[in-house]
Amino acid sequence: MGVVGSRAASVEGLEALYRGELPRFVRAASAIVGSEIGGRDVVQEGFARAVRSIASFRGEVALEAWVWRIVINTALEQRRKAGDEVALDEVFLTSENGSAEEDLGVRRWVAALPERQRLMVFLRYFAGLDYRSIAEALDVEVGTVSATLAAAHAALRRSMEEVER
Amino acid sequence: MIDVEPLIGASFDRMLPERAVAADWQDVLERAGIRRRPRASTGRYRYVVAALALVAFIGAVGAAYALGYPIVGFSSAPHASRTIVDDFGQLTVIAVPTPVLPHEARLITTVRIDGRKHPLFVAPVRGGGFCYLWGNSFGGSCLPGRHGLGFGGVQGIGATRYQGREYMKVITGLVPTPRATHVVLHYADGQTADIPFVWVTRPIRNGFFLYGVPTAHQRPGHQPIRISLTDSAGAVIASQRVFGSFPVFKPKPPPYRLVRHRLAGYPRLNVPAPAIWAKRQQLFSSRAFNGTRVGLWIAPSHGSGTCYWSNVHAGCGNVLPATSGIPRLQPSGTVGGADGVTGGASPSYWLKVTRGRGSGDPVGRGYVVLCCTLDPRSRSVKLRFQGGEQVTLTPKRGYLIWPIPRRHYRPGHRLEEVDLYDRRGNQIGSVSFLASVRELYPCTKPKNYGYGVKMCP
Repeated sequence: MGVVGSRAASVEGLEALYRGELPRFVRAASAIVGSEIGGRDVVQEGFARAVRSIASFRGEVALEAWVWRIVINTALEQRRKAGDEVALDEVFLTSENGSAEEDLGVRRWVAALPERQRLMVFLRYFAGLDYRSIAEALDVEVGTVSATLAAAHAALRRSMEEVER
Repeated sequence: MIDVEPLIGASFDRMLPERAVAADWQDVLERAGIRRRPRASTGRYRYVVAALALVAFIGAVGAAYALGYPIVGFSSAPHASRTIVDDFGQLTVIAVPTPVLPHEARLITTVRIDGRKHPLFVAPVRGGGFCYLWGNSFGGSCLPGRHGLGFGGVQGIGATRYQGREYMKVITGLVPTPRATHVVLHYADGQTADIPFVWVTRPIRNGFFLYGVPTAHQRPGHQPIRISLTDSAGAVIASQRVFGSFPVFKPKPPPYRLVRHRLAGYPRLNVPAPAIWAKRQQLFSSRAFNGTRVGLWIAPSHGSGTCYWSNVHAGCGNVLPATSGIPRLQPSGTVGGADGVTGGASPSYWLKVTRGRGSGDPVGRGYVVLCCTLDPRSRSVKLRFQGGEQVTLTPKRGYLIWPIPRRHYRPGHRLEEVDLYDRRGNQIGSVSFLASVRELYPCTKPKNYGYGVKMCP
């Protein structure tokens, strides 16, 4: 990303990341907090935190992963504040391609996953991050991501196969 | 064993598609406590100029209050910052662009709600109308061309959840006539409130408001129920109901489930549960350019009618002939999603150009198909592409699936129209497709449209 350096240059890098990847950030954050309005607010706040603490960015991970970490923490914090009022599945308001039945099933199965698995599923499929980026964003090993997503896939597979029987 | 990854990806793409989101970098900076853009001197200079112009504007507004509401001369209002110009500029390059003039964007006013500032930016649209944006997460919209008397869509923003319902926290809207001197909000408990608004002169010629609903009115029995415009004599010019609360959304149960089945060589298939699998009949089989096998099957339903399924879509019901005449259908052209048209009011067909993989992954291996149902009287369909090429296909019993060849992914070569012909060769229908829609056809290298937007053309 080439943004390690002066504070001004780093803020420029954040702006470039923000402008280039905003829809992905909003999408993933919306999935975590349960609403698109909330997701949008989380991303704004997350990037603001990133701007405030850009001086602490040492370039040990990619800037994008560092920002993802901040946005995810902001989203989780927001969810904790909202308590039980926010249901994860409420974010999925409509199905645009006429497969509502299928999507309802996937939604329920994903909602039933343990918190950590669900978070990684969101980052994998809503944010489109690869395993290494997820690992950097959550500050875990790539192997942990791989194992957690494998467990999530297995759980989803079991749910789907139960439906088939 | 089910390969769940593509299923999850495709399902997520449908449930929560990646949408074009208006950027608001200035809001980020303000939240971070940075008032000035940390840019080169030209940027700072621009910001200072804007601030000075705002001071001048505030003075002008003070004088204009004598007319009953503040009037902002659009041409003398401060130019918006580069970030806001980019925000508007993105509207000119999205899937269905709006011809807004981003470099003409102006800062109109700033409203403070709950201690936060919300600046209003407005830009004219070529040919008439305007786009506007309330900063700090409240968003905006575009109203190209002329629009009639009304409020241009009063809308609630944000919500307070109370006893299973949500109540508006903020109301925004437009005032489309200079005759209106007051915008009055009526609450369910009989109270009213005057909503301040600002009028913007030519070429905008519209009023704007953003209003924070007091906490006491975010409760049942006290919520906003109506909004009205009155003239200087107190006469109501227009009135509109405000939907002050709405039930928290719960998804409706589907009419039937889809179950997954496996057929050798094909991706996992989502089959309507009522379909009698043992009595299935395959109508189409082909391959997309990337080698993926593409098929469409039908089977009788346990209830009545016929079910079908394919790589991209499934359904059940009786496919009936269209009513007499040639339905001339218009494209839907949804942003970033499946393009095409379902077949008129009754009966409803599902004939679309759609991606074979998740709609959020336009780059690379994704393929595009034309699918799935059409008037069963159709004995042949003629596909007309940009550039004049034509392809004739033979539907079967009102069904069709065809992987569109990759040479037709490029702009200038895309599908524009499908004409339907009966067994006598008479044209019985026509479906148009929006060839210029972006982000539908895959590409190897997304195009940079400027304003921070990259996508497949």
